Amino acid sequence: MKITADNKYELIDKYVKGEMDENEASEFSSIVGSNEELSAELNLIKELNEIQDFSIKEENLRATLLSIREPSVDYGKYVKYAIGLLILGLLMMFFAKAFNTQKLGTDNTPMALLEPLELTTKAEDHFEDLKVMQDFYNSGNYKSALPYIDNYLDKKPRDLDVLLAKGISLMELDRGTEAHSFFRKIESLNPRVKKYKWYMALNYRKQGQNQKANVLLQEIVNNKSYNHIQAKNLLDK
Amino acid sequence: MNTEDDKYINALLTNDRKGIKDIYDSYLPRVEAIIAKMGGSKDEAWEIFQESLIVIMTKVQKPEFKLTSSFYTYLVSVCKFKWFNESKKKYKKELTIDGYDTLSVEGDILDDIHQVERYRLYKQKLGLLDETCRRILELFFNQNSLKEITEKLKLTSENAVKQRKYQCQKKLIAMIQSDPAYKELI
Repeated sequence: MKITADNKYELIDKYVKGEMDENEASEFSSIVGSNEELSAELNLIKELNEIQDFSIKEENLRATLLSIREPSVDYGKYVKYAIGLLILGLLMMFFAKAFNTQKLGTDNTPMALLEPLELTTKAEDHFEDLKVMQDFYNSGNYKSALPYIDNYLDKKPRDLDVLLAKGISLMELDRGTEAHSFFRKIESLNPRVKKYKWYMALNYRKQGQNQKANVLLQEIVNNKSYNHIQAKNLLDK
Repeated sequence: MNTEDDKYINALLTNDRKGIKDIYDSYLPRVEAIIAKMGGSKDEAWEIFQESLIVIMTKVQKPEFKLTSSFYTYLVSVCKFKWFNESKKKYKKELTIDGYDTLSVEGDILDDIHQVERYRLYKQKLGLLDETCRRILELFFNQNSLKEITEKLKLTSENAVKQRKYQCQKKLIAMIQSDPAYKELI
């Protein structure tokens, strides 16, 4: 068996996926054993094949732990209070909109919409549902906005504005773990755009991870990034 | 491995909520006490506890995994190592922790911690590739055949996908291997 730069990855893939016969596998294994560089690449590719599985399991475990740490309310017992709170919440939303103040989350953390999306200015996109998505999102109807956002991201997966909108929508729908993955994606695509950090911090607070939130808020304050005054206020609380 | 430990390992393997809640109820307070003793807050203990369970969950997936101490001893060892590592990164200085020398009860725990960090590094690098490359590799790593990838991504031919996949894989490997963080994790 001759291993060249051209066939190296093909052979490694066949080996990793168990597509070599016994003799081929044994010969390949002995070549790898005597070639440190090839051995390192083989291990790396083996692990690359495991990342999807790892990511799913990690997300699932995090979600389970979070649901244990923040158990849902016994609605049967608290139904009266819930109705009262709902009415209060609706009134608060009404006044918040009327006076254009910040929206409040359940832990009194200002959440999400400090400025509306203005996606229809992306005229070159010719995306017919852009306005529908924008209207749903700007009116706080994140559940309805999500399918349109997903549809848009299928076509433009690196659009930072819409990735942010997706992260914020998921955060508002209490799908914090998923929201984080979108904020992280923005971070990896363009770490110089700092807006995501503010929402990432809010998401951490919503998830009860105040330590992580405070580290981000402090960074925002130190760098005078997006919403640094609100970040300072939150840290001072 | 006793029955309780067996139950905890299975809970992590299957993401069983009841079993994971038992781990949480039995061990989080103890981990909080240990981290507090080393100067950490409750929030930090929670982070360390979560991260340590992810490390153990990853480890127990390996067919060769065998628990040779109690689950509690293993968990505490991973937590202490995680705390040690995180503190070292945060304060950029060498720290000492009680019983560090006797912690390595389950093979090399640092290797297990590094493996999880490597997975995260790979994910981060994958996210830096262009969209087509990223999707081709994600589908490939997710056990899709070249034919399936061609169909799903509406690409021209299996051969074109094959060539593109090798180029993308090569690029990803080069990005990973050139990152100084990777060298510290292997």
